[in-house]
Amino acid sequence: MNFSFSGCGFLGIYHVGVASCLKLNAPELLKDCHFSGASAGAILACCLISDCDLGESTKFVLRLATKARSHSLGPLHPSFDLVQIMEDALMEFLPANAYEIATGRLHISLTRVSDRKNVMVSEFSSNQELIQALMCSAFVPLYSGLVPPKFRGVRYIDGGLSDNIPILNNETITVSPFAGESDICPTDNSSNFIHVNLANTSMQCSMGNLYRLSRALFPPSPQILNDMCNHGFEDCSRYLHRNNFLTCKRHMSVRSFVMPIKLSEQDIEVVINNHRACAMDAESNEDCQECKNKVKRARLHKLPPSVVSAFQSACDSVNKGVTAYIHRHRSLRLISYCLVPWFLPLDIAYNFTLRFLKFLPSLPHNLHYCCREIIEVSRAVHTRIKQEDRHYTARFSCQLAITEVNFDNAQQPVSSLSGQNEPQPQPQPPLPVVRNFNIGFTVDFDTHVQDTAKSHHSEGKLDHIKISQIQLQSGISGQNTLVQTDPMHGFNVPCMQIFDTFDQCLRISNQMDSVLAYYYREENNRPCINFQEIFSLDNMELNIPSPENGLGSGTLNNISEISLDSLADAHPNLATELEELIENTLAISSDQAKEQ
Amino acid sequence: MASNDGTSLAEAASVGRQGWFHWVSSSMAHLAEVERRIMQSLKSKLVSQFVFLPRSQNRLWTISANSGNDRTPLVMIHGMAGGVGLWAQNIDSLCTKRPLHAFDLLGFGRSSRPKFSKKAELAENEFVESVEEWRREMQLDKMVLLGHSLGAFIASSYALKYPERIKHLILVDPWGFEEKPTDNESIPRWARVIITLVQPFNPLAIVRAAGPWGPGLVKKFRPDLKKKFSDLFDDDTIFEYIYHCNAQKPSGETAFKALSMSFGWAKHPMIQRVGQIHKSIPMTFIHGSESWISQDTSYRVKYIRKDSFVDVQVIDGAGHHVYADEPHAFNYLVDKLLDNLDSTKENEPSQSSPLADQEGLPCRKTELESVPITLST
Repeated sequence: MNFSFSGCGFLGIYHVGVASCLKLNAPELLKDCHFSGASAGAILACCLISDCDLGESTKFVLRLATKARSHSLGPLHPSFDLVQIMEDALMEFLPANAYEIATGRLHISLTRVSDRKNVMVSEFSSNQELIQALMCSAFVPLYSGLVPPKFRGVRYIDGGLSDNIPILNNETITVSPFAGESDICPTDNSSNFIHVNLANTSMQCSMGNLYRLSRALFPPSPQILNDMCNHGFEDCSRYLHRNNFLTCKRHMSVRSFVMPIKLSEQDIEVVINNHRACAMDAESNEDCQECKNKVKRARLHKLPPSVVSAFQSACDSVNKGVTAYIHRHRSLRLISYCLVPWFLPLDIAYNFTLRFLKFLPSLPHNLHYCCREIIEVSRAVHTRIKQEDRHYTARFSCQLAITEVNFDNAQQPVSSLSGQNEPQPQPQPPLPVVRNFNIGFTVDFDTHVQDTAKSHHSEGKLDHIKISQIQLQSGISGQNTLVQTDPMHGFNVPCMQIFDTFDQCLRISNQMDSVLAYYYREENNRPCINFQEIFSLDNMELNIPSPENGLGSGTLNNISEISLDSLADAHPNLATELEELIENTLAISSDQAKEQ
Repeated sequence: MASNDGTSLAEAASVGRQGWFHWVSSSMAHLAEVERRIMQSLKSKLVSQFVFLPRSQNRLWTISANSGNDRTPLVMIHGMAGGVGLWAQNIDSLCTKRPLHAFDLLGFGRSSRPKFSKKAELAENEFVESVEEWRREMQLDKMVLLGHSLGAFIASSYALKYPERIKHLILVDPWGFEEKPTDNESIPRWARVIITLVQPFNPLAIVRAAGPWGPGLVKKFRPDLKKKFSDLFDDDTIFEYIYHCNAQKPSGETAFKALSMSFGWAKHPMIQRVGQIHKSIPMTFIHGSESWISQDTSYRVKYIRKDSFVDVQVIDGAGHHVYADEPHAFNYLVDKLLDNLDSTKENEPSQSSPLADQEGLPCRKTELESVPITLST
């Protein structure tokens, strides 16, 4: 069982009503359930989980509301620093081990500034961190301030903008002060079928909701807040009653008796359902006087006295005092309204100076952040406008052409290599056979991310590259006329098997210095570099897999020439590197070419 | 109430779009295409057709499944701003044992969109007559009528007029039963001004007025719809369907406006007339536990119709769109109910109706395990 409290600004007072009802009537429900919430809902869930005094928190909300109302611009007045007040209050109210209680049980919904995605936080290492998370979750942009607060180095804003009622699992009871399709919510006297669903909060388009929305950030008078709190209490007790959560301890024991029988169905949900069914049966049987009494008492329950007295004192403070006297008389009220335009600029100027002075130490950092954010946004807008879905592709291909000359046992490799090919016309004298092998593979590289290649380069990782096709081609051309006459014996391992793996090609090219290497740029200024390397395979051990005829591995004793050909690369960095190399090697390669 | 005079300019433009400029990019062809996509995801063999109503010269888009079966057919009427496509998660499992018909209400979906009367009684009668004419054309003798929301209101109005055609009435989160309460709530003046300003417009005029942004608007404000139908589609099909259902000429919507008064209350609430429904017609109410439609009214109906069978079921965790929120529970419930109905004999008195009436008043039977449906032998 989980509870999810929606974010709702000053309407959080509704949650206070719900919470006091839960504490009073169903304390066993609260014992080991999880809580989730956004903004005001998260703060209340935190208070509930750490067992704060609800009367105190009510007092605080009311004080906050009256303070917000006392300014001529309401909560937008610069002297009303909501974030600071809340932070101080939470520091005061929360017990020292609040973060320990909250870790794992309290899930706070946040909206990450950078990508406007929802983030759920449920691990806290200190009270500071917990409060910081709550502050982030309650930060309404522009309303609470300009620069969003940080949690663990990342800037977050109000969780209510992305997910206002975070739902943890199917057994989540949703609490929302807006009339709609939540478990515990007010019922409006409206039959409008139009519903909207904003950030996961279901809202009916009713007059009541319109009013509530307008009051979420601009608090109404304590009397109206009191009504809301009462509504919360009533809605919650109705919910508890309807779902048969109001049961006495004796029934609890009956439930646990039922449990082992139904556990065989391997489903916890079934067990829970049976719990309820059992409790319900007991109720309908009406044989438990205690249970009935409890239900009756719950119906008569009112808000706890501490909460009520908080409201009373708040109402009194509003009705007494000089400002109240002024507001009661129409003429005086008129005068006070007339004076506002004269005093307000001074007031604002003064408060802004104060704020600025407080803000000064962190100014450079924040300015830096703002600039970066603006650049980020403008870049995002720029790319959005251009609407170019950039697609980066590259193809690396490698080709090996190997010529093998063989005199003896010409039949064997031919048959083993090309079973489907027509049998080789066998010449009578043991003519040497020349075989050409072409080994080639290509690596295709395909990405939308601009700097994937760069990251590969720096990290030295290649795991994002998909090797889409490695093709091995082998061609046999026995009809070719022969140049070489030196017979070679005892070596009939197919050439292809030496170079059949990509690894081996890599190994050779890595281990050995090339005999000859040269690079050249393609014509027409295309960003394509061709380079040619020639390796000598003299005196080199090769892991040659032995074929079925039992011949061991041998060493190559002739000079084969392996050419690594046509590696096309669109990488700009490589291009510049290669250009330098070209300049260095140009002279040597041209000399060698002349020699050849 | 001056009901329809102040329709917005955009709406007028959308109605009279003949030229090259289309503010609202929607048409019957769009709707048909989206609906085809929805129906493709279903497993059962569907027969879809326009049923022509000769007297009123209208046609109703009808989807039938398993029509060869000779059991009592189930007829489903969708709610406000909907269409047959919304039953997508229910048709497959409900049509296995009996014929099933669902049609777009007159003025909604792909059906004709005539000009309704502005008088509540006449508009209601037009709906009822269209259903009756449809029944005649479909050659159904008796049927189980299932209506949701506005459909439930029309279904009960139909039962009032043609009781002999109804075997069982299933009302899913019915609209229009409750009376408008005398409100003495302290609503600030500015809110009242807004309400008065919005009053002359059709309820969904904003979707049409938004023109090209309409589909985005539906998606933005009803993201829950996607979740409801996530078993079938993981794209925006359902948004498109809802949009195209309502982006066209508002006809059923104006009729709804005629039936209702300020903010959606019925002008002639069904609760005042429900006592006149013939005693022999059994009724089942199915509510979503989180819906804004009050369940108390249904219990009141139970009280009013003391001599007949009235059952109230609440499906836990479902909102107003019960059939889409908890399709499995809903299908199970309706299927069980109809099974029992078929197995009871025709001439039994209505009091011993298929569902054993064993419910205490506001006690909810929520879980499926505790649904008091027992096979009567």
